[in-house]
Amino acid sequence: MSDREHPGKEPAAMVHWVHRVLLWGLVASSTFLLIGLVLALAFHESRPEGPPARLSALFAEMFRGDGVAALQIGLVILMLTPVARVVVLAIGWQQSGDRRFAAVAVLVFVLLMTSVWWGAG
Amino acid sequence: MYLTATNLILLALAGVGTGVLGAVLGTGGGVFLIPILVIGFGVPMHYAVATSILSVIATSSAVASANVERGTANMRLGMTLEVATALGAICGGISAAWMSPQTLEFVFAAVLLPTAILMWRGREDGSRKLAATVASNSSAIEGEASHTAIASSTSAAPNGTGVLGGSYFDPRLGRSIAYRVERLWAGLLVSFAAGNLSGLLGIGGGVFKVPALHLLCCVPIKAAAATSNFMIGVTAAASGFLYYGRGEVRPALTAVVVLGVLAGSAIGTWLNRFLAGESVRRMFAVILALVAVQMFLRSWTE
Repeated sequence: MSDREHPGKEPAAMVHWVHRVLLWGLVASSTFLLIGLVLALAFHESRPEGPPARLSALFAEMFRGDGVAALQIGLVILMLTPVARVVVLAIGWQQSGDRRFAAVAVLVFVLLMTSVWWGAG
Repeated sequence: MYLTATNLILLALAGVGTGVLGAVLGTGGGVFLIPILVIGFGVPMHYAVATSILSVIATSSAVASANVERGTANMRLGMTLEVATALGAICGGISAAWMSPQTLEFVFAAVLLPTAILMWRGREDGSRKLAATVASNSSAIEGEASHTAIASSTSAAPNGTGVLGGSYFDPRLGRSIAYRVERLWAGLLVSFAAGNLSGLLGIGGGVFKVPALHLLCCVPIKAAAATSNFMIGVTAAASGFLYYGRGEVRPALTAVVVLGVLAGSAIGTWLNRFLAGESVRRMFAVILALVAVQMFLRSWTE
């Protein structure tokens, strides 16, 4: 990892990884959303009411040409993108020796997962 | 609501507008998007809130990916405040049990109006002497590559900004702006409240975080907006999973809006390079006032 300081104080490599994770998450999400939208609108598909199917089932449905399944996968990737950003920051700060902020990032991750579990439970 | 070709285009445009405003002002756009969806398109409220939450994630991720590289998003400060936001989101369920959304909206509208006035008036930029120190080393600077050298050569900046402060290069001013974070406790308190509200109202909380960062924590407005944008994705993600799990995210509707938001965020991020801090601050003040009026009306009529 480069020691060159990023203007905002963080190591440049860490900043670039945060940038990449956010960008890749958006590109992947947008790809699924675009494909899903085209399929869903072309075949007039709509999602039935109630909780969504599991991710594994969504992939299986998508490969069978279900546009709504592709849309839902795209939306799940979108929701996971900020979570991935938190994980990258935790790793980046840990590797750069800043354990204080690595711990803060881990705490945010735990609180995030607690919030998800609380609501789901 | 049936997705006709006209509805698709209008929804996408609503997303674009939301994305532009969100990128410039540091909000997720939920406060604008929900009334548009409910009143303009007849989308049921809980679907509109779910769509708004996911569009906040899109805005945050798109804008933050650019702002972290520019240095305007303060990741240390953002991550610290996210602790309070995440705690607030967890407690949101408790507050929702004893306070109705209408009461919450009235209370926050009452806070937003004086905040809008304060934002319009502005404050002395939090950079103060730190900016002068950096500026004196950059008499003829152009381009972000140069500001990297300045930031690393200016020994005052790392120590002067403290652990949570930072610096960034403002292309419009042609110099680096350094700042120190003050009254962190105020930022934490507001972030906690914003997290509380996020799931309830379908917003990322940027309308509260940006004024708090700028007026109370002395963060320059562009850095405040960028840091807020950086944070609200996490705020919204916590709520987003809950709405998704309950089946309240309508995939096609949300996809159209999200794609529009992404396009708008790109436009807004580009625009931000040319906007003066004062313009951003005053635009924000106007938006705050409009949001406050909207919240007052909703608390009275619902």
